[in-house]
Amino acid sequence: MLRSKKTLLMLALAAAVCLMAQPALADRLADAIAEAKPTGEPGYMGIPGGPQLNIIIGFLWAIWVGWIFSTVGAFGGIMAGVGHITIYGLGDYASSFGKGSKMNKVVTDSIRVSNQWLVGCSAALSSFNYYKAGRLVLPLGIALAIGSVAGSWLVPWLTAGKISLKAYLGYFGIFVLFLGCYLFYQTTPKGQAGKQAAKKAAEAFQKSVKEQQQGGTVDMAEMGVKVQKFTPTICEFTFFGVEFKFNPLIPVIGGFCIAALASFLGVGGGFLLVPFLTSVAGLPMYLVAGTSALAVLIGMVNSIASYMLLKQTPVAWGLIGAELVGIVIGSIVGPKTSKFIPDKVLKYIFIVLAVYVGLRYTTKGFLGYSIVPPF
Amino acid sequence: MTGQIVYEFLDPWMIWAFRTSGNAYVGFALGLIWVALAATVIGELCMAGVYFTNKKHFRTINRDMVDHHNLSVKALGAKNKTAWKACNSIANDAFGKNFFARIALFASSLWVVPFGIGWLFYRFGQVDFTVPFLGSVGPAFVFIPVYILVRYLFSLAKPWLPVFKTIRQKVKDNEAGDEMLEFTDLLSEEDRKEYMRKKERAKVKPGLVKSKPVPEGS
Repeated sequence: MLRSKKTLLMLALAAAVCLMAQPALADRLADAIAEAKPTGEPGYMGIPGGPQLNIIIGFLWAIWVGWIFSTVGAFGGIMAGVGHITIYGLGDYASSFGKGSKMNKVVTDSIRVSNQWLVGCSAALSSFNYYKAGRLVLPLGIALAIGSVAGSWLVPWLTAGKISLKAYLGYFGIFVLFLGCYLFYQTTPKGQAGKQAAKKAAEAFQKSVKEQQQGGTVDMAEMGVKVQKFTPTICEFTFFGVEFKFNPLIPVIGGFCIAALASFLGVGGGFLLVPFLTSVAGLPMYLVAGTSALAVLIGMVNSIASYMLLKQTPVAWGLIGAELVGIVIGSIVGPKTSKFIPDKVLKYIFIVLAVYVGLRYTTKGFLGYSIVPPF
Repeated sequence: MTGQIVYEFLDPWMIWAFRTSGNAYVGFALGLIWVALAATVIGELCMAGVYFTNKKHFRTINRDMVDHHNLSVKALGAKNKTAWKACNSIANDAFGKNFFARIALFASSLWVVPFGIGWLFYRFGQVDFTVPFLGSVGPAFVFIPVYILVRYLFSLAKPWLPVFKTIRQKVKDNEAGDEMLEFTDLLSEEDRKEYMRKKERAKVKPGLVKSKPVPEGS
């Protein structure tokens, strides 16, 4: 990419970030305080009588989050959410104001956007490295971006200020249960078979490459992507002479669903996007890197901007800073310790954890009590 | 320990830059640049520290990703769709691991920023910054773009800055090995030269290269 284009990109990013900065008066929080009339020492986000967040606890919990990031990946965002809801007691604090109160909803939105800052911001910005290293399929990137923008704008617009903590907990719990089921599927013989077959095929090819220099050359006419057929539902193309096809609607719908889910739950979405682009759209890794980076970046900037600027959702910056430090330390420790724990054992630990957290939040959210301890 | 204690600690380190000029606007601009620069330098040094603490891990996951990607390119060249799919899916798994590891690595360069913003709110939270069409905004509204620009300019200067130049070289050495193959590497030597020639000419006369493997990324 040309340097001038890069500069333009940076300026565009700076302009976009301008739009997500926090309004000074945080009217929404002020309104919520005026309605609830809380009393006491200023605590979380300066709310009188709000929880006094100990950043050491935030820091220690984030070490655990960072450890998960560097060993499992996807579960990091979930654990960041568990930290904000349960460990810091923000969930109970929000609930104490009652379902219909403004304070309940503003704290719930703050939890969501804090999760997203923690998981998504670094994801989005680090993805620039992949963007530089990789390549971008612009039409697919645009299709995903359209879906992402729609999803990450619509969800804050529709739900900010309307979702009570209980409802959020319920949906968060269902998602965690779903993730637990997916992790469990990966450990079953059927889930393992696909991976093993891929490994075997890759090893066989590697062997044949070693035996005879198999790499082949292609005719210049066959080079790149050649679209054979393009309708609203079918895109058939050859990639260096090998035939592929996918449904062009899938990236738009997929981008929308992933961004909407990520925005609603307050997670990054990158962990859903990468396997989605590989398995559904069948893209090569070389292209997935740049394309997913673009979609994550656009979705994240848009979602945080919608929460913070359009809906004036405040966050506690000091807590986010302390948590980032914890994530860094956890991610240093992660690779050093995970080699002593077999991959399968690690997965089982997370399945148990997902079932526990999922059941607890789902039942607490939808039934009003937890069916697993502490009740 | 609450955020307040952190901000009180940061105060003397930050506020002096805001008082360097008699003009409030100039002083505020200089102060913002100072906070952004401090956040950038501390963040970049931390990122390097984290990278070198786990350099073996980063090298391994990077190699895994590059090797399987290269194998997938070779499979495509051999028109072996099964092998291409298998190698590509493993390369994608490796990319996923790399992606999350780099997220955590990048967080090590960002952790300073929220403290900086928090301190700005501690100091200037009561000041009304008014922007046309948007109304009242917070200090973060002006700080985040300044931080991005400072960080970008810093990244341009990095190859010439003593410590950072060495860091850059050491990272390069750590990840040295096979380069990530491009799809143009599947062309015969002659075709590739022809393609490169066309590409060079296209820089002068845009539109000459009609079929590119993929749009340019960088």
